[in-house]
Amino acid sequence: MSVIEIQDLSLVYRTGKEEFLALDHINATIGSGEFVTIVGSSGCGKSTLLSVLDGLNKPTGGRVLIDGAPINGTGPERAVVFQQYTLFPWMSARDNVAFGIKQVRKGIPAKQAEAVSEEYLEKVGLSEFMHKLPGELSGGMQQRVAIARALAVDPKILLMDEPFGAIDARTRVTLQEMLLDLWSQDEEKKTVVFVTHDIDEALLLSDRIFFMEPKRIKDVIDVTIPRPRAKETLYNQEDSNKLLNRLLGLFYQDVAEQIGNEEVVL
Amino acid sequence: MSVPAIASASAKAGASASAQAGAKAGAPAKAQARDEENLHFAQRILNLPVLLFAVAFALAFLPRRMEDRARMSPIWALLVVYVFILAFFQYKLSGRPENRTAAKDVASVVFIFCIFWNLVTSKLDLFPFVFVPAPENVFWVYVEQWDYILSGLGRSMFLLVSGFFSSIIVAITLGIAVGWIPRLRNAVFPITKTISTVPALIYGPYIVAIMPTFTSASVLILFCGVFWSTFMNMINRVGTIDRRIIDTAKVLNVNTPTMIFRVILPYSLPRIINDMSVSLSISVMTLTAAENVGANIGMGRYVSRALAYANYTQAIAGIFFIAVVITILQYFVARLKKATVKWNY
Ligand SMILES: Nc1ncnc2c1ncn2[C@@H]1O[C@H](COP(=O)(O)OP(=O)(O)O)[C@@H](O)[C@H]1O
Ligand SMILES: [Mg+2]
Repeated sequence: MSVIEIQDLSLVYRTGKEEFLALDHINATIGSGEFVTIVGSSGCGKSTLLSVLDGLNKPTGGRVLIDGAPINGTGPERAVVFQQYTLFPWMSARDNVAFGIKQVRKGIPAKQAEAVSEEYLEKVGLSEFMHKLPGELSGGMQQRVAIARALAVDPKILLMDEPFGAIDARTRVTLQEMLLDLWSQDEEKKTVVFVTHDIDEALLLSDRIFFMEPKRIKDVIDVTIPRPRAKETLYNQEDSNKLLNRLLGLFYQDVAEQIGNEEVVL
Repeated sequence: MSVPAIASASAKAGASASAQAGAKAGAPAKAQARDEENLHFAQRILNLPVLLFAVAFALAFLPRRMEDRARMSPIWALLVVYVFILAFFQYKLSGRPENRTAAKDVASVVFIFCIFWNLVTSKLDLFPFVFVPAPENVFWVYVEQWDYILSGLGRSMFLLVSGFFSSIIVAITLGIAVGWIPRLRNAVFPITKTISTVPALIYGPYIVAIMPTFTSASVLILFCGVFWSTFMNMINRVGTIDRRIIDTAKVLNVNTPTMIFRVILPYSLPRIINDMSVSLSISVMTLTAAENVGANIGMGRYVSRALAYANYTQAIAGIFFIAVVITILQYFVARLKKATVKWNY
């Protein structure tokens, strides 16, 4: 439900005396209610870009606007889901979600926060497990809780950094479809920025794909596959095969460039 | 009169037979239940520790050669101790099956030691009785001086609890605050590291000399004895805490107090409690040593006074007593950990 404008964004990591340019003058606009995935090979700066959007890293050049206002640190209109180990291990699933709610809706009675928490755990299919500690849940269940925690604060923007990256392939499909389901339910859709290195995942989920090469966005691809989409029928569409080939082409080109344009056999 | 007994016995046999059938069906929980049920009276009685207990018990009644030279105390305090050990062993035996072997071994070693001790002192009188007192004399000390020992315990516990807990609480609070601010951390950590290498015992006498009362001095010594290492560990822990936990808390928009008390503190709690058992031992050591310098009553004072008067019977009784007290305190720390920490790293 919010517009994100990335203007001339640069980021330099400083470790001691060494400097590393991780993002180099990036420009992009993400529309309200749009589902954008960021795809690229490992180390190209996807997480770095997302960390600027979620407010954990400050840009060293340029700026990011949300609905026209520059961001300053983290904010309640944005919710984040990381890859792994992002639940507090000493809190039950319900308490984890309720904790998130209490940070945003200050002074909400504990009972009410718990009720909202239970409602969202039900949405991700975990009602039965709400009293379990994260350590007692599978990786897939933990990510469901993390998603419930992110959605329970009703953010305008959802930022996800390879949320299903550590999940086995079959569970991943279920989670992808669950996410699409929850996202499309809203009257006014949330703006989603979703990092992945899985091309199938990008095609299944997004309206647009930002293809990153190291430090910058190399290409923006419109995913014209009609919704609703499902994993098993995704490649029945002619469009999707074309898009897949185009993305694979970009990937190989990227790899080739990185190893110095020698002939690549993959 | 015997009819109901038989009836209940056969009912029991039936119950255990069905329990066994259940276990064969393959449920591990039931197998464990059967294990516990199988701990019959015979198994409780027919084992090495119980045999050794009987030997030790009987031995206590045999004539004592040491009696010719030394004043010997009544044996019943010793017998009570034996019964305590046996009861504790039986209690452990009712616990988890996998701990039973260890329980038996420990109890055996303890009883063998008691038998040996009794033999070489009281029965055979092989050593100078002043230096190696008989067990019945040592345990009789508790009967004779229980009020004195208990008031010493109360005094020591008061100092221990006030010094130890105030130190832990202050060290953890300050440690989190300092650890959370990078600049402060970098400045304070090396200094803390240096100070924490000096045991509080070394400057203990100095503190006793400058403080107005012994109470304030020993609380301060105890405070210092635990503070620096706890403080240092806490700074370190906050500095090395899993980034993902911190990042998660940040994107959830927590404020600083929430970050400290609802995130960093609970995250560190398992390690804090682990360290607590070490700090507790250090505290007891520091306290007993501090009592040597300036106290007129207390557990450590009791031992050092006995040693000063060459009353080794009392000294050994005092040392046993301290060992038992520390063990009980450690047990409470372990319980605290179990109650508060249900997860692991
Ligand atoms: N905290 C950091 N300090 C220095 N360099 C970093 C830091 N985080 C990431 N980098 C570097 O920035 C580049 C981009 O990292 P990242 O955004 O994590 O890539 P991706 O998520 O696409 O795999 C990598 O080369 C990485 O080594
Ligand atoms: Mg990454």
